[in-house]
Amino acid sequence: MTHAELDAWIEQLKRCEYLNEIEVKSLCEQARELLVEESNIQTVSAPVTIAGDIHGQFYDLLELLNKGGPLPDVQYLFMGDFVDRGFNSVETFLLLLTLKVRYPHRVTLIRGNHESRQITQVYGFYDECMRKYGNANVWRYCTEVFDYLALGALIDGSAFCVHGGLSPSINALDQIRAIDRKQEVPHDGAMCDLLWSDPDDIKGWAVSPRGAGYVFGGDIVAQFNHFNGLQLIARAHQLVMEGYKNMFNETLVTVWSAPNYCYRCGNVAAILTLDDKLQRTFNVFNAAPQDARGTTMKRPAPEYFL
Amino acid sequence: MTTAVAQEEELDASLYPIAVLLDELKHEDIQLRLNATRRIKTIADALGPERTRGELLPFITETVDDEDEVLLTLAEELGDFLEEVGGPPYSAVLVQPLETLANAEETVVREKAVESLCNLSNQVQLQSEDDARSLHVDHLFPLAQRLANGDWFTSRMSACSLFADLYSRIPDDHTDLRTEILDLYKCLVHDSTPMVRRAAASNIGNFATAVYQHSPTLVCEQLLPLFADLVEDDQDSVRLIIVENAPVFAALLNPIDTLEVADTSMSSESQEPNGFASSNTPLNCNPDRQADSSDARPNAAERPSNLPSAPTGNGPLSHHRTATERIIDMVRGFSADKSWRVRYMVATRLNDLCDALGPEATRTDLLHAYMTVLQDNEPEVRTAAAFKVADIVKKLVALPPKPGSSSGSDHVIYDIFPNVAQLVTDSSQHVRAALASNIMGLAPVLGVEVTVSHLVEIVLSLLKDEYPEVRLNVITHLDKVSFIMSIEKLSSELLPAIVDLAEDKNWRVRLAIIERIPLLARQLGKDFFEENNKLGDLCISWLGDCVFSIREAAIKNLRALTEIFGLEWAKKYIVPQVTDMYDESGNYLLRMTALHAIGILSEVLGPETVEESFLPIVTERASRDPVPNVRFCSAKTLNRVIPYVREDVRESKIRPCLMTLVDSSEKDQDVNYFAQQALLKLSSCPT
Repeated sequence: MTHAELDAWIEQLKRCEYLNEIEVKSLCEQARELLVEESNIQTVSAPVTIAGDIHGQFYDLLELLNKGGPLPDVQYLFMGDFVDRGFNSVETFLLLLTLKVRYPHRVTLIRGNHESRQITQVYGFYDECMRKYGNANVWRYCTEVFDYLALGALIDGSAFCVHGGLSPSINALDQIRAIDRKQEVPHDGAMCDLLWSDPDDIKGWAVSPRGAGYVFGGDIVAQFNHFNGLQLIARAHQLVMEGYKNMFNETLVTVWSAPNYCYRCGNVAAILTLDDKLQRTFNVFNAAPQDARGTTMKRPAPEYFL
Repeated sequence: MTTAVAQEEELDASLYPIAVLLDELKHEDIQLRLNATRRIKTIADALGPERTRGELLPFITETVDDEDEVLLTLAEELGDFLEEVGGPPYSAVLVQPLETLANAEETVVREKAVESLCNLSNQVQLQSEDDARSLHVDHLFPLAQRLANGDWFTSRMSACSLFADLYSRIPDDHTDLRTEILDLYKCLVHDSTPMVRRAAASNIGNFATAVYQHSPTLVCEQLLPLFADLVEDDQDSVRLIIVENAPVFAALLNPIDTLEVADTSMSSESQEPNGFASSNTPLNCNPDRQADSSDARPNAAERPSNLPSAPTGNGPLSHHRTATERIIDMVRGFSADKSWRVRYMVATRLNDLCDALGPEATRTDLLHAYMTVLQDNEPEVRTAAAFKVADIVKKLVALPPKPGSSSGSDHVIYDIFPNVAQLVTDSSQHVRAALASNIMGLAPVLGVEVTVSHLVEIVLSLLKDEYPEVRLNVITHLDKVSFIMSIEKLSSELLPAIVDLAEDKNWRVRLAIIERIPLLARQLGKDFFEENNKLGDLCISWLGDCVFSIREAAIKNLRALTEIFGLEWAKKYIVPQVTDMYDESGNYLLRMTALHAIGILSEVLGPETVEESFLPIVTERASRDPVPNVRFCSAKTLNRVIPYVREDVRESKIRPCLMTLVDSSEKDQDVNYFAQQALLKLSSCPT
């Protein structure tokens, strides 16, 4: 693939027009070749802009890029949950993946709990693929890519990014590096916890109401950061109405990038920029206004319903 | 048919592709069927007219239980299929397939089928009068009858849209058929399903126009009562459509009225001035209508002389005079309709009604209706009314003077302004925003004096509105009041309003105001952008905005200001600020913004400034920045700058710098890539 062809795909996807099945297949193959080279914890150097859950809210992703700046000028790290729930999971994931293939060093994608075969069959991505392509091939190509996504990222050795949170079976980052990640997200164990856990104002560990992963307290974060020489854990996974939420004396932050989640929660979204000196800036944004959204492909209601 | 295709294949190998297309017309894959349907003309041309009529059309007709999309394409193709079936003498064979399509369940298919039927009748009419006569009398009229009496509402809806065209084409010796069409239409106006009544209502304008061509009086006698019935319909969706069509319909009645008033002036209580009657000939009263019935127009204009002798007698005339009045009554009724959607439609169509009904009605009644919608309970209605302020005021100002009545501009001052002033404090922000976007249009109409005495107050209060969009709309339309911009009160209020919007927390508001700055700059002049005025500072500070889109717009704005205020100004108020920004910023985003600005501003600053002030930053500092993003931005900037610097500088400064970026010591792929791109540009750029 030449840069020009990829640029043409990016232009097309930015108009919210998805690629055809053959193109998706080729894109996913290229992405897999790139991702297989990445470590479980991908190393990233600042400056970088970190985004949380997108959930198929395509026009809000464009809004995010408007707000944060275009690729490749700005380096992005997306912390998973690209698909499900929103109307345009296909376009969202394909755009992110094409950007990744076009600018491998400026885009980092890590895996969220929704980047899984099981979850996407329940929460919309599978159905959207079937609706748009008439078969499950595209869903299959995409979920194969999911297996290759990194589990976390480390920014300049001091900020650890992960979709969910920590795991009781992991003390050192090296233990994460040792996981064989190329599989469907398991129901338990370290890999599952990284994608499913949540922080809370408790001490130690607790069972998660989600049924997967754990809930962990400030003491666990302090211990983990100290042991691994970290300043910050950045994670996503939980809706925060203000777009971001600092916890435990700013040693952990939740970033949420789906404004007006599910088109009805009324929340704002945020991205976190770590500049070249690792200074943190939060950029809060709203859902894209109606006129910035393409016309939804809806047939008018039949006459007799009027 | 497939066996026929097989034989065909044996007979003539050259027809093979046609056989394939024919097969594809029945293919399982909808895309193939669609493609084949789009090419039925090719098939027909290959088969020749006779076999097209005998074989292809029956074959196609069988498929009429297919996908809507295929049906739609078919309906479209058959509208231009006359030559393929052998020309006008055979036009009738197309009626049956199109009839089936006009009965389809899907609206767009039906509409397209009716459109194609009208196309067909038009084509035949153009080519042969005789064939047209038989097509219309023997085929299309019975078709209209069948559709109008169809069991399903779908076919009756198609009938409604067919009537107007058919009526106007029925030959003069068949007036009985015309009467019958009118009767069919009457039935459908009173149809039991609202969908059909809606179709009847939405066609009343063009049907009346068709009737008018043959007998203007029939419009009053027959259609006005129907119009009145639809006005009384219990479905608001029907009434809505009737309001939409009221201007066209009223415009037809008005000249008839006027003429007959002139004829029977004895009995009329209020005599309209002659100037009014002449200013109201159909030609200049409604531009829409001219387009609708361009061929009817000259006739109608010449008709006045024989109109009074039309066999209507004196009897009906007494209530004709009131035809326009009845319409006006209806409009007034609409403006108080219990459904807000109807009132909303009144607000949006009132302007056209003024055109259709003439100045007298505007002055006495429509102005009233307008005031009613301005004060409506529903914000949506008031919003629609607020959007029309400028249009209505234009109508009022243009009113011909009439003794004993106040002048148009008096109406504006005493009737419109007090109501509009209330909208300034309306509880709905949408109403205020609509007003703000429209009210500036009054200034050129009213002239300096009234603008200063009445409008400026309103504008100033809108500029202080709590809702940003309202203020923004005012500022967006300031060019309309540029002739009073010099008023100190206005400009001194304007500045704080702009500054406030420029710092609004919604970035789209900030973006909108930046995009207006070049326009304001032209109106306000340099002073506002220099030294101690805040606007200049603002323009620079937007470069540091946290939103990328704002930074980008800020750069474009600086470029525009440079073009407006000139090079010397830019050298003093822009160039140093941009270079300082690069120097002082610890944040890589700001360094990249400065680079981006350098790239864009180079287009307008001229080579000396670029080489002297900008180039060293890019080649000596940005290209050695520790952040790779900044390094490849420097390459991108150089790429942009190349055409705007002199050749010796390109070779002595830019090329060596780019070479370091493609050097093997540079590990970042993106930096390599963009430096390569710039090098390519360097070699291809004309000297």
